[in-house]
Amino acid sequence: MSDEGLYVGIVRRTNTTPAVHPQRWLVECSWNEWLSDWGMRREASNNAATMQALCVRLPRWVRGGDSSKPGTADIRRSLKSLQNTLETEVRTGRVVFLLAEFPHSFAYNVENRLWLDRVLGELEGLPLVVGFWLDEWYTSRLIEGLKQRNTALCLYDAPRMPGLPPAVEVLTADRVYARFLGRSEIAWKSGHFGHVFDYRYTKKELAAIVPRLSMWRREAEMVGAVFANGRWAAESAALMDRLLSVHVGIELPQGGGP
Amino acid sequence: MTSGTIIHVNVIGLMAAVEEAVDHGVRGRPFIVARPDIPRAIVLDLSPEAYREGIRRGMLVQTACARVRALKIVQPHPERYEKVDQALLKAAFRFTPLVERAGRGHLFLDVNGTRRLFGTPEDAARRLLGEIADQTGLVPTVALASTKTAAKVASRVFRPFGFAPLSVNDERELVARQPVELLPGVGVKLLPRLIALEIGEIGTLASLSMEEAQAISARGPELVLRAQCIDDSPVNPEPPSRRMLAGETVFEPDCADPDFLAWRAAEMASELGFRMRKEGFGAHVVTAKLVYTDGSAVSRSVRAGQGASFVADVQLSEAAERAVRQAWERRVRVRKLQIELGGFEPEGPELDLFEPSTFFKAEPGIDSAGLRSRRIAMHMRLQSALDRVHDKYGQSSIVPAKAFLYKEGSLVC
Repeated sequence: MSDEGLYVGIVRRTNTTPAVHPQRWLVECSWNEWLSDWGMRREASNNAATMQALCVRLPRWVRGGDSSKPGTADIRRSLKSLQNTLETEVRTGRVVFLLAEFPHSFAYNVENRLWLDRVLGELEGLPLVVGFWLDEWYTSRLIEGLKQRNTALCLYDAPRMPGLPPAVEVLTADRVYARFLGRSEIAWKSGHFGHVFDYRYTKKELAAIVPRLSMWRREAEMVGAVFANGRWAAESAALMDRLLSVHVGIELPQGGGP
Repeated sequence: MTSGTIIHVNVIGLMAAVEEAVDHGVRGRPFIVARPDIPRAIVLDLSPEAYREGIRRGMLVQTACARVRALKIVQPHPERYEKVDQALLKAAFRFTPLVERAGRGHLFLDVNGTRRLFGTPEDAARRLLGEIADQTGLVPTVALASTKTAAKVASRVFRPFGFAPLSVNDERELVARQPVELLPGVGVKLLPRLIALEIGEIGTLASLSMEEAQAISARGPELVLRAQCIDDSPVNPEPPSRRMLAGETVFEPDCADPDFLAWRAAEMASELGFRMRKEGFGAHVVTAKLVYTDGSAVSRSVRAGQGASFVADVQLSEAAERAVRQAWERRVRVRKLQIELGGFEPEGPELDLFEPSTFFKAEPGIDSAGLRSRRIAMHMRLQSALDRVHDKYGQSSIVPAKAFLYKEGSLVC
């Protein structure tokens, strides 16, 4: 398996930096985080310190469920400006994934389907990944539509519970993006939102994921695995990186990751 | 949440996938698998890129080439596909002996009771997927559900390279949301009818009453049950319905007499019927295939009615004769005749609990159904007597009188 195009990372809100091979390090950040980072780098004109690949989550108005969603007349302009902003970053290889994750409130109805179609149409050419928390979206029509638009469907590793995305895996584009949300049913049932993602993946569980990543990499050009399992995310990402190093045969540099 | 134990393995476009794995040069390019050297060749399989260009399986190669200029044609290699098929089967048998072949590149497995060996059904499915990928270089779509129908639908939705472990609680809802054409049993004939009735999703079909379903098609009630994910068909390593018996006669010299062909077909059907009855089956389909002198072939099938099957020689012979007469389309000599009995079902119609004493006469107080039942019983007794004689003294010991009119052909079974 080639190491190129395979990324392991965490969500930026977890403040710890994992020891991940720099070639594979991926950070998933929010739109606002990316904007401030982008502004700082433009001013400093030196981005050597922050060379990790990024997955940028699209702003809330794109993902629906936000009152700041632009009016019909502004939509095209807003999406166009979004595309222009991101295009350069994508071309330089800094932004490797763009994630639009649609919440439960984004129901499977005609209005939202049209909205999704418009977003995907306007942002064509960007490395888009869409994720749905509502299982009603997991239909053949969506899968075929994503394939036509070369848009990846976000894959989830989460407990098997009602209200969480189904654990299906499918390749709809030349890239795969998987989010690891932990597997603790008890935490989800507890109702404490701050802890629902806290789950410590065991080495055995992560080792079982490695062949999956390897298989996806064989079929897709780019694979991203992001750990969003709360306070254990950094540890899981580092462990996964070590397992991948053994699998791929690339040694970790001295002193760990960046 | 618990999942089912039925795993469905589906290698999408096996021929194209194998050719792609062997020749990396065609990867990412539109190509078809076909034999361009024969006249009016058709597309046997195609790459996803060719599919996106509007090419479909069964399309004429000429039409496909006209549609895509840079279309590459790859010659089929049946031995490669067979090898991959065997590798799939071998990988599946490592997990369970309950493996059903459902066509090339399609398998059903039941991993019930293997938890202590391979972990949960989902773990087993993942391991199977990995083993197939390692051994064949192909990544199939694997679906896990509690019924074969749900697993099949899921594998049709989440493809290619998909993995769909459905939980028992969710699978019905997930299947209900899918387009009706993905339901096994909905084909090109039924689909326009369903669309005309505004039945676009499997869930809509599932909500029909049995009377409404009956009005759509004779198989409507069965489809409605499938749409509701009610499917108790087990994973059968050797389902009787898939087995078949076939025999062929090569005519030397070639034959141009339709009556002789019909008689030979009837004779072969009787011989095959004897073997079939010994195993306790009746055939739902009798197929005749004629190969003409110029190499072209025509085949026609005759099917028994709903819930019925051909069991006795009389029925089989008549069906074979009909199939041959239907297949006899050209005034060209026939080189080879093939008769095939398929769609096996448990033998015979249901008889009365007590055997009636009188067979021939309609007695006062006996209705037509009762008389029919008596006649069937009589035929079955006659047939079993004939079978006993054939078993003891050979097939030629008792032959129909018509056989003396014709010379014997050379039967190869």
